[in-house]
Amino acid sequence: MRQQSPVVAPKPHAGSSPTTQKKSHFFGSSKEAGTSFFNAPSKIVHHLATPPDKDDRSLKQHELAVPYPNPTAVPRELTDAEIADAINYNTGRITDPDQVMLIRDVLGLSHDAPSIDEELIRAVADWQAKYNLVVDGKIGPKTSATLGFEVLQESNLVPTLRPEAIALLEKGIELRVSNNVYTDTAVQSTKDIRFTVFVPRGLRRDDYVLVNWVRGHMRSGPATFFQVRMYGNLVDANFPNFQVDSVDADPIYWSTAASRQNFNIDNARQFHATDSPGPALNTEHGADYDLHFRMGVYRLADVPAATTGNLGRARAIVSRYWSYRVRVSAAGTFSH
Amino acid sequence: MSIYFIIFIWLLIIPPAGDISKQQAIAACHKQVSKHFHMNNSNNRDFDADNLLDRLNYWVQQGGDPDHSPAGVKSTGESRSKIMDIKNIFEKAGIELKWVNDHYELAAP
Repeated sequence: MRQQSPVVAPKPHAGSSPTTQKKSHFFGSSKEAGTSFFNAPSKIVHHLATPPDKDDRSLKQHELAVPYPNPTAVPRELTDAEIADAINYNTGRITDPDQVMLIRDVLGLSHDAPSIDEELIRAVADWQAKYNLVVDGKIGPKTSATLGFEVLQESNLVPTLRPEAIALLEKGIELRVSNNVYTDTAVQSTKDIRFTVFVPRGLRRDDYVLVNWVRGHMRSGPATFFQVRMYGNLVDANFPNFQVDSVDADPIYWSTAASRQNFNIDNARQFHATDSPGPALNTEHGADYDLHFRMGVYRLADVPAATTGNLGRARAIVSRYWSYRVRVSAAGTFSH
Repeated sequence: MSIYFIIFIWLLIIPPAGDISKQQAIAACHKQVSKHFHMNNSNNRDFDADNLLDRLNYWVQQGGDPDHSPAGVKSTGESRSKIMDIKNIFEKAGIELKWVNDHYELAAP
């Protein structure tokens, strides 16, 4: 069974003609790229100029800037249901037609249309096997990171590819959440959640930061709010809409006047931060903590130096929603 | 390596006179070295204990210290988590803190 998503018309490159647009995604072909593969330096990248034989999934002709870690690996056979699932997943995750065509190009497939189809899924599975990744045909963070690093290396020869390489690599940024659980004792209810950011090879760890958003309230009674420090001022803990959650004007999480980045560094590719709202105490009879958060990874360069609640045009690369919801009964017990 | 060398030279040239004995000087140096050593092994950015203490007191001023929070003032989590994070670093380094008026200081060894 051959499954195929609707073909999306590619958006034209800014300031480029349709001809140059096609060239930018067909650099592997000497005819299209205007560079002879055979006359080029030995490290030149050459993707398949023609689609592989349908029965030959090994992509033997595929030449890449980054050698496969496991070039002889053969992917397991995906079921029809897995292929359909992967098509749905990739269609939701890779929404830029140009990026779809670039991925098809890297995988050695025809790339005259941004099709997310069975052929792409099988090629992704082959790529995943050769990179020792979980074989599921889904272009998740780890697969995006390897594809992006390949394109980044190719951008050494084709500099115009660099923005597309960065875009793919940023899809490889992971925001992992752990310890998202309440710890209730006789006297308090706490949550000490942890956010770990993984930045793939090819990107600089310190170019990325966390920004937290908050919505909701912390009430000490039916009509009285606890106070919190927000953007340098003590205010009621009552936030009807999502707004940046920061004690100082700098929206970056854990920033201070002396340093914007104060995350805990795990290694060259990873940093983490924690968050611990409240805590709700057993003596606060009738208190209602109902806070909803959205922690996001942003490019440092996009985050303004000061905020009064929003980030302008900055967009999160990846976000995670979480909450802190505790009610303290008249008897001093906690419920969530 | 270099800090040990500097301390070694300093111990050689400092006279055991005045109101500080040689043993006290050595003890003071060991304490200072210990601070740097533990802080550099905390897997965080480089800072010494005094710098870390300044950071702790900055976050205490922002509210959210679970041990010294004004009545009615809570934390959405940013300051409280950072305070707990820094306190954990001190604890792992074996450095005790004491609360003085409205801020933390390093406890005497």
